Amino acid sequence: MTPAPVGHGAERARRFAQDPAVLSRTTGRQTLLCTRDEPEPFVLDDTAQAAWQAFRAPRTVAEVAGDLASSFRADPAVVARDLEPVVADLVARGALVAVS
Amino acid sequence: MTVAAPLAPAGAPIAVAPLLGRIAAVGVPGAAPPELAAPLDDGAWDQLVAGAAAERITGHLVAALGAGALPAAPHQHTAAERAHVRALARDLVLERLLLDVSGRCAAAGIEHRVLKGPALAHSAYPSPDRRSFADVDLLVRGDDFDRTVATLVAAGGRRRFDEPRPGFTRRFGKGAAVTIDHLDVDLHRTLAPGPFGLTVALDDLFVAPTPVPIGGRTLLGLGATARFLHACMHAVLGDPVPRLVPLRDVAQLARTTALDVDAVLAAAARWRVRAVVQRAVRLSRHALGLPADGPLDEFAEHYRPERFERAALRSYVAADRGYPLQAAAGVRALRGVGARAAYIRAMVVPSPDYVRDRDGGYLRRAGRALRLSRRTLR
Repeated sequence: MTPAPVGHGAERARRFAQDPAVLSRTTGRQTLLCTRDEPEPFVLDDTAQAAWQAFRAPRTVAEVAGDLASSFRADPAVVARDLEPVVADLVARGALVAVS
Repeated sequence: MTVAAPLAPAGAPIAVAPLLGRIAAVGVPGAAPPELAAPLDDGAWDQLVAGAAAERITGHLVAALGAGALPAAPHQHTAAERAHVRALARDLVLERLLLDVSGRCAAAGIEHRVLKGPALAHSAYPSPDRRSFADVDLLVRGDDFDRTVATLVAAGGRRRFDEPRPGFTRRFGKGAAVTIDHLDVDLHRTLAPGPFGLTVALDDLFVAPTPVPIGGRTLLGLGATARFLHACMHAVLGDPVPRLVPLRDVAQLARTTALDVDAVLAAAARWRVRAVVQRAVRLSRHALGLPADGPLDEFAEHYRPERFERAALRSYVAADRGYPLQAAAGVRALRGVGARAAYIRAMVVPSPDYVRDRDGGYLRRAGRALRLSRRTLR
């Protein structure tokens, strides 16, 4: 199933946050998540881990992309473009939920 | 009763055994760091990681590496992390099962408490990745026991062993194992099999619970005093060779949480398990290489176990330990003629299905009982 885009049009104003029901563990450089929608726990890669951490509080993709771009001195548009499918995937897996 | 000689975790060669004890102690105040002057060769490192995985202390191994307390090559770091990720994945699957089971109990109006691993991971350790576990343990009241088993069976669970007679477990037994989707739910009525399980003041187990936050919900664990006593019982009575995880639990709770020592010793007296606490404190200190400055070390040094405690403890730790000896010692733990009569009747004349599963037949069971009674009367 292809995740729905999350950073375009009306979706741009949508806020996402960690689903409080997600079970997680972090060790050193890795984060594992266990959601109701996935049969097995899965490990987040570096980008997904950054995205997961960034959505502790409800935020839009653009807000998170702006912060990450600032931290890594990157182009916010490029970061947003890379971030959108990651967020969409986390939403599809039940790790992030839309809150507005 | 003397403390056992240096521990050798099951499956680990003697060479890494002391090192595993030091690793299990990482983070306990006063613990000496692992003594390793140079990285191990790859063969020894693989054995160490395998030993840590078998003992379920990969979280402490990774913490030791992260703190620079253990020299290791980058590929050895990676091997340790990989083993820990496997352990954490299992922990998460078990937590998901726990939430499901807890939710079903709550929906059925069954009061329950989370025990051991998941409860301690989220309430007693600095982060839950430091405390791995192998199953889910849940405590319910005796009156709710049969209904809880029925609830879990209705959810697809399978009870693994029959009880000696219908109703035995809710009155005398430690509990029952229920398998759900190849995962084990250890359903408890009390905290240990045998005599010490029968002396626990069960009402104490539901007093002043500890919040256990998991997956956006707040489950309930044992109160601080009961939680520590259970850790001691788990460490001493759980396995023939004490495992590092419960020994670390004893140290973690005694040395890093606000334990009320007077309340612990009063409850231990009420439960008749002071000898168990003594042995747990001594074993924990010895296995983890801790200084004798913990809050219960003075008690452990001077306490003289009662006759009942000595006999009961023997049924768990002596060379001829086992269920038959524990069953015989259990009679002495019970108070009242009626309770003793019902217990003995269940042991002597259990149900046919139970006899077939456990003993292979009544004649074999009678022979075993005769040998046991001769040993007990000697």
